Parts: sequence; structure tokens; C-alpha cells
Amino acid sequence: MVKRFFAASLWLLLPFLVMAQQVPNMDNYQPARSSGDLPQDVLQTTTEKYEHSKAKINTGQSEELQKAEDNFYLQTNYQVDQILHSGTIMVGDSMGMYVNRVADSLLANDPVTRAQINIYILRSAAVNAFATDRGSIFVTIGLLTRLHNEAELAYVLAHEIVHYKRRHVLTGYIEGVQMQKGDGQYAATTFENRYLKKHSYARNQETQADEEGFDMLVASNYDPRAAMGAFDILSMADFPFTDTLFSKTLFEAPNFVFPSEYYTDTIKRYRIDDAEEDNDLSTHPSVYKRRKNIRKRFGKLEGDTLGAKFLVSESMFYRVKMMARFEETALWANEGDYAESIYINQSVQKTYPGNFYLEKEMVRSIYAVTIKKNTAFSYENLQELLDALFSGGVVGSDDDRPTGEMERTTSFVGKTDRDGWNVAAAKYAWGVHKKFPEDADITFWCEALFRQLTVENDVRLKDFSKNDSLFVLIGNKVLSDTALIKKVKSNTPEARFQVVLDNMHEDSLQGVKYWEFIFIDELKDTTFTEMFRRAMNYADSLEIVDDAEEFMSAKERKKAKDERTEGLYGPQGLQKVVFVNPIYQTYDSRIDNGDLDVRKSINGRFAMMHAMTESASDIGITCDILDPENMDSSNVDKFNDLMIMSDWFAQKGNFKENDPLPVQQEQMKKMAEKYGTRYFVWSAYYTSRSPRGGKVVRALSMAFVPLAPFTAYRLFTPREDVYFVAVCYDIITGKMVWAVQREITNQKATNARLKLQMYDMMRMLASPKKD
Amino acid sequence: MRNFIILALCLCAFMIHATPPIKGGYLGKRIIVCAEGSYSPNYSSVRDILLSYNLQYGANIHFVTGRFSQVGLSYNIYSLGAHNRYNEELSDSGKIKGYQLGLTYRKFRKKKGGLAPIGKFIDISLNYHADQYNVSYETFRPLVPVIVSSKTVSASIGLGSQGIFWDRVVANAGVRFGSPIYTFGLEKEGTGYISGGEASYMQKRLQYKDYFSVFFGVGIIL
Repeated sequence: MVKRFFAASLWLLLPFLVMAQQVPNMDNYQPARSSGDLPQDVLQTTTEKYEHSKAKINTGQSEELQKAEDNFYLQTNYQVDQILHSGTIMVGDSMGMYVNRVADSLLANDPVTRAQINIYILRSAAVNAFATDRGSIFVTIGLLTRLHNEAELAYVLAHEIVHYKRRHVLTGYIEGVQMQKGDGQYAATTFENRYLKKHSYARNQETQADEEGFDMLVASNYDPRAAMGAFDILSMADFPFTDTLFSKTLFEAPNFVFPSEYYTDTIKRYRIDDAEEDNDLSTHPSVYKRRKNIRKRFGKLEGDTLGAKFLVSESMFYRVKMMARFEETALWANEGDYAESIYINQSVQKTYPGNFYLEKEMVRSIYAVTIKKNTAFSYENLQELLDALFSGGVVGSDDDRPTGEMERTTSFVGKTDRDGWNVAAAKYAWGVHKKFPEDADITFWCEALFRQLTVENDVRLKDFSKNDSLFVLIGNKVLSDTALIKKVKSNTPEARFQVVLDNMHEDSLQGVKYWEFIFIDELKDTTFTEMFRRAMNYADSLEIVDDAEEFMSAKERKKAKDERTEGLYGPQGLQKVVFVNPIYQTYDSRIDNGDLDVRKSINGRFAMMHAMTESASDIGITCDILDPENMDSSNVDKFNDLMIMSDWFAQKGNFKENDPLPVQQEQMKKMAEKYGTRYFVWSAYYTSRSPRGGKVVRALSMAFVPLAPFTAYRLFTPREDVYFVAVCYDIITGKMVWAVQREITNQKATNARLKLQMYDMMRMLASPKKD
Repeated sequence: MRNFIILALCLCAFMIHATPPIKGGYLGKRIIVCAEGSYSPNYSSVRDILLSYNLQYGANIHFVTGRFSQVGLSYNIYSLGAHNRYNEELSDSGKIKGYQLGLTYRKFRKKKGGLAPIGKFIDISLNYHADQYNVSYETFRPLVPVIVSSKTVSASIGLGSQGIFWDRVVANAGVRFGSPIYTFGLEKEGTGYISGGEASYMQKRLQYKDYFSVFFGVGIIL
């Protein structure tokens, strides 16, 4: 009897237990980071990997194909290392470990293949997974957010593993070379037909990966129906993982509503383009066809072969999925798509209301939008604002604009007037600050938002009402209008004020601003008024400086400008700097492969880093280079630092020089402490080669004999250009402290020139500042 | 020459004074010693301008003084051939022999990405020439020796490019345009007579040397 009772109780509790598994506890969520030892895949240089890959070249084939294969290994190793070293992947992180365990499960009977495969999580909101010829498989965070079960992930991995096992990347490349040259099946046909055939070949590879991946899924005892789920994800890949309703109430408060015109009523709903036929120009078959093809294989399954949806761990799956969703909020923001980040964030917050991580990310995005609004545009210039804010915020609609509920958010963020948005942003940040007063970043952003109010919008404490009597009075005007009273949605002062705001003449507001009642409660809080006063004092101090500059003579202004210029490009007197992932690339328009000369790029980068360290040592400045090729397996901390700094530089790129950055100050302080310097440098050295034009004119001009040696030199050599840029930032203040930008046109990109530029850079960074 | 040495010493003192706390130049190397050759069209006819050239040889020493500048001293010798109408009639084939001492300020072009001592540059030179022209006519017997000496100060502006190879070898090339700016007058030695036409001919040949020349230099950086 007792047993029955417990069994019945458990049965009744089961849905709740399942739900608990599906909603993991994320209270103390920390951003995902790499951990453990760094693998050889990350540490080995590209040249080492290339030399290793070359051993695989099939020497029995024609010399031309051997050359193509050699070139493929060079290209592919370079491109994969670009990803591995870019700070966009993680190793040994919880999400990656789980995905690798699913791969273990898939390849339990094929340990040889398993040993060759490394799966990495790529920090991207896009929905994607791809395999490379050397066994690295990348799975994006965007894909993890959309999975319904582990079996779907297993199917995606199985598909990629087939690509690897069948060497599709290599054979696709060789096919491309043959297509370009018109060899084999591409002989005697037009270029257009060759191109279409090549794509048809790629589609066949995809079909093979689908089919054999399905067989692998079934053989591993995963539920084969998961393949259909994976196709569902694929067909929705261009849209956000959620379409939960966005409401402007997110930014509203007691005694504060935004005008309804900011909230778009009509939005474009998702439209899945599930065409039956293949797109001839696509490398992938249509999802419809892929689904249909796999469905046929269901019929061949014997008996009751419905496998499991979860083999590794259901609870771990839901945790990983949720981690991915948490991470995605930050990814959108890191890419500069702050409104999109706000939408994703508020959607996840519906499951995790008030979560510290999410609230912090929300304040960061709100802060970033505020900076963009205040420094770049006025709200009147709406179109420009929308273009700027949402460029890159592509979620797959025809005109590259977001669709669904995300569109409502992006539209709202774009439409809100500057003052209203600033006030609402400060209110939101203050609320979060009150909840998490110990967090220095939230406090910093909150203070900064108050300064945005006072400095950029000239708002003072006196501009806010201390009581709601006028708010109520204005709202009550609808009570005497029978037409308007029908529009009041609830019996609250806010609902009545909303109707007045939306429908009545501006005079009805009696000269008040619709946002001035927002801080009625806060004005009773001395900590609030103290923080606001500090922001007002800051604004006043800036005005004094502005006034002083206004009274400067032209000569004084020029002197001040010269001093600023000298300060930025002249000596800095630094003792230590950290270079983050220096870039060196050589382009040559005379070669194929997108003009990038991989060999020269690899060698040039090595020479660049060597020149940096040599110069620093000669000059006596300490120079660290954050680059995986300079790390050993125990340097996972540095690998994480590379990721953090890459994000930091990406944020910097989204803002103007003097804009305060929406980055985590505390993290930067720790970084500066760890490296013993607050000066971090981003640098890039590009060289290019191209054929010179005007050969006939040059040949003729050789008739002018005195200059014939120069003319002859130019006639027989390509044009070369060099572009070098380096920017040194103080990561605590976010300010640029030193910069160099050189366009070296029509001159050879010699090794000596590279060394000289590196030496000069170190010299400028190290030389004492002029008095 | 004494004045030139004094000038060189002053320049060295200036360079040492101008040395910043951290050495500039190419990886800390700042002294460039170069052998230089140049050619300039011969005077008198279009054919000569295109196909007949006078060569100069010399050496120079440069010092990188800043991120975009270097200064240098040069010494060149030359022998200017005469127009073929005269070269068989005159002693020494009518050549004007001379030497040139120069002071050069070379500015590397920042906008073109120049950074001393590599890149495109513009230089300004102030040169002192001492020339001798033997106007003795071999066809006259007995030979009446006439040697005309000329001392000139010229200025030139040059455009060129300089590169470094193997961290040590310096090479440069470019063109110069110039003109005499002051002539101390002609001095005659010997018993012979010099006509106004010959004096003018000599000066024009010297001017042509300065008007336009193409130079190439190879040296080392220390």
C-alpha cells in the first residue's frame, strides 16, 4: 500500500521533475570559458599542421592534382587556424565537453575516427555546424540554443562526421579546381554549366552526409526521428530561437508609459522558404528534399528501432541548451546588435526573471543603445538611426530586416525619443543596481547612464516631478471624453495617461514631459539623489572646460590640437604592452583563392611577431603577445584572455573613440592587474601585390632614356602596397592612448620595412613622453 | 676644405645632441655610408641629352636624425665630357674635371609611408663645386696652356627611394633637379686666351650637370 502510494506520488510528480530538468538552475551562471589543457590542435603552428597534412597527398595522381591537394592543405589549415586563434572558440568548456560526449556516444564503435575528431563550440549566434578535413568540427552556440533533444545534436554531428570521413572538403576543393580549369566532367561546356555542375556535386555530398549520418544515428541507438527535428531547425535557422511577445512594458514603470506610436502593431511574421526544388546556385539541397529523402529511409528501419532521445544526459542537455541561450544574449551584444540582444534577453528572462547574469547583460545592452542614441544621431533622423543600429542584425527577412517579435523590439528601440529612452534606461539600470548593489559593473553603467542624462540630454533633478498628482490629473482627462474612455485598457493612472498621450493634443499634457513622473519613488531615496547629483556635478565641470575652450584664441586652439596630436602619435613612455592576436595578411590579385597568399601570410606573421619581440628586447619595453602559437598546453587562462580581449576590441570597433564602452570594467581591471599593464595593442599589417597597369605606356616611355632604369623596373615588377595600423588602448578607461596608421603605397613590402615599422612602434611606445 | 671639416664636426655634434634616449634609425643603426654614382645628360644637343651622359662617382655619409629625417655629407668627383665637336681638338678631350662637396637634408615622406631610413624621400642639398677646364687646343702648336678654374655653389632637390636588405645593405635611387646659385667667378691659369664663348660653354656644361641627374647608391648601415 505504501509502495503504491509512493509510486502514485512519483507518477504525479513526474511532470514537475521533467520540468525541473528542462529548466536548470542558472542562478549563479558565469560566462562560458575554456578550461583544462589546451590541445595540440590549438597550439601547433599552421606550418607544422600543413607539413603533417602534406604526408596525406596521394602521390599516385597527376602532378596537377597533387599540387591542388597541396594547396588545399595549405588553405584549409590556415583557415581553420584563423578560427581557432581568433578568440571565438572555446576548449574544455561545459558545452563543448557535452557535445564531445555525444560524439563519443555516436562513435563508440569507431574509436579510430573518434580519435581524429575534435569538436569545438564556436561563439556565434548563427545556426551552423561545419567540418574540416583535419577533423575539427565546429558547432555554433546559435545551433545549441535551438535543439530539442540530444538526438538532434547527434544527427548534426553524424552529418558532419560523414563529411569528414568521406573527405568531402578535399574532394569538393579538387572538384572546384577541375571546374575552374574545365577538366574531367567539366570539359567542353560553358563556365556557367560547369558552375552549376559543381554545385550539383556539392549537393550530392550533402545528401550522402544526410543519409550516412542517419544510418550512424540509428546504429548509435538515437531516435531516428531526430533527423526531422534537425531539418526543422535548419529551415528556421535564419530566425531567432524565440518569438515570445515583446512588450514595451519592459521599459515602463509606475507613472511612466511610452507613446504607443513607438510600438509597432504590425510585424512581419516568420516565413519559412521550404521550396520543393533545389536552388541551382546552392551548395545544399532544399530542406524539403532532404527531409523527403530521409523519410524514405524510415521505411527501411527494421522492427521497433525507435532509439532514445537522450543517451548521454537529459539534464546536461537542457543545461547546455540554456547556457547557450544565456551566451547568445552576450553574442548579439558583442556583435553590436544591442536591440536584438535586448529581445533575446527579455525572452530568456521570462524563464529566469531577475537572473543576475541576464540583468547585467540587459543593462549593458541598454547602456550601449543609449550611447549610440546620444552620440550618433538624433531621434528625428530615424531612418539613419535604424540603419546604423540594425545593420548586421540580419535575421533572414527579404530586406535583411528582423522579422517576428524581434522586429518589434528593434523598431521600438529605434523609434523611442532620446530623452524618453535615456530616462527609461537610467530607471532600468537603477532598478538592477538596487537589486545587485555589490556589482561594480552595474554600478558603473548606472552612474554612466545618469551622466548620459545630465551631459548629453541636459536633464537635471529638478526636471522630475516628486509626486504623481499631475500625472493622475492629466490621465483623468479621458474620463470626460466618451470616445476616449473606451480606449482605456485598465483602471490604472498609467492606462489613462497612455490614452491622453496617444490621442489628445499636446496641450493636454499641460507643458509636462511624459517621462517626468518616472522617478517619484527614487527621489525619496538619498542614494539615488546623491548618484544623480554626482552626474550633475560632472556635467557642470564639463561645461566649464567647454567654456574655457570657447574663449581660446586661434593660436591657443592650434597649440592645444597639436599637443593632442603629439600625445596620440608621439612617445608614450610605457614599460609594458600586450599585443592581442596580431594580424598579418598578404593579398596578391595575381593568384586564385580569393587573392590571399596564405604562404606569405603565415611567414609574414611569424616575421612580424619575431620583429616585435626582438625590437621590444632591444628597446627595453616588455611585450607580451596574446596568441595561441605563443602558448603552451597549460596556458588556458591566456586563451581565455585572448577571447575576452577579442570581444573587447570588437566592442571598441562598434563605438566612436570617445564613447564610453559597454564592457565589464571589473574584468578589465583584473586583466590589467594580471598582465602588469593596462595598455593593450591591436595591430594589423597588410601587404598587397597587383599587376601594374599601363604596360604599353611604360614600354613607350622607355624611349625617354634617362629614366629608363626606373621605367624598366616598373615594367617588370608588380605593384606592392603596405598598410600598417596599430592602436594602443588603455583598457581601464577605454581610451586610445597611441596609434599609428601607415599607407605605404607603391613600395616593396620588404622584411626590412616590416622590422623598421615594428621597431618604430616599440620605440614610440617606450620613449619618454615629451614635457 | 677646412671649412668643410668644421662644418662636418658641427654636424656630428648636432647629431649626438639630437640623439633621443632610445636610438632611432634602422633597429638602432643610424650611420649610413654609401657609394653613389649618378649620371646627367650632356650639354648641347637633343641627341646628347638622350644618349650622352656624364657620370659622377662619390661617397656619402648620412646620419638618421629623426623618425623622418637624415642629414648627410657627400663627396663626388666627375669628369664632364665635351661635345664631340670639340673633344678631339682640346687637351684632355675638353673634359671639365671637378669635385663636389655637399650637405644634404633628406626628409622621408610620411604621407607615402616613409620612415627613416626606408621609403620615399625628398632631399635638399647644398653643394660646393670646384672645377677645372683645360681649354688648351691640341691643334695649336706650340701648345698654349689655358686652364680655367671655377668655384660654384649649387642647390638641388631630389626625389628618391631608399631600402635596406639583409639588415645591413642600403640601396637608394632617385632623380635630382638643381641649379647653380652662386659662382665665385672664373680663374685662368696659363698664358693662353679664353674666349667669352668658351667660358659660357663651360658654365652651361656645369649647369647641365646640376639641372637633372639620376643617382644610384649602395652602402651599408652601421
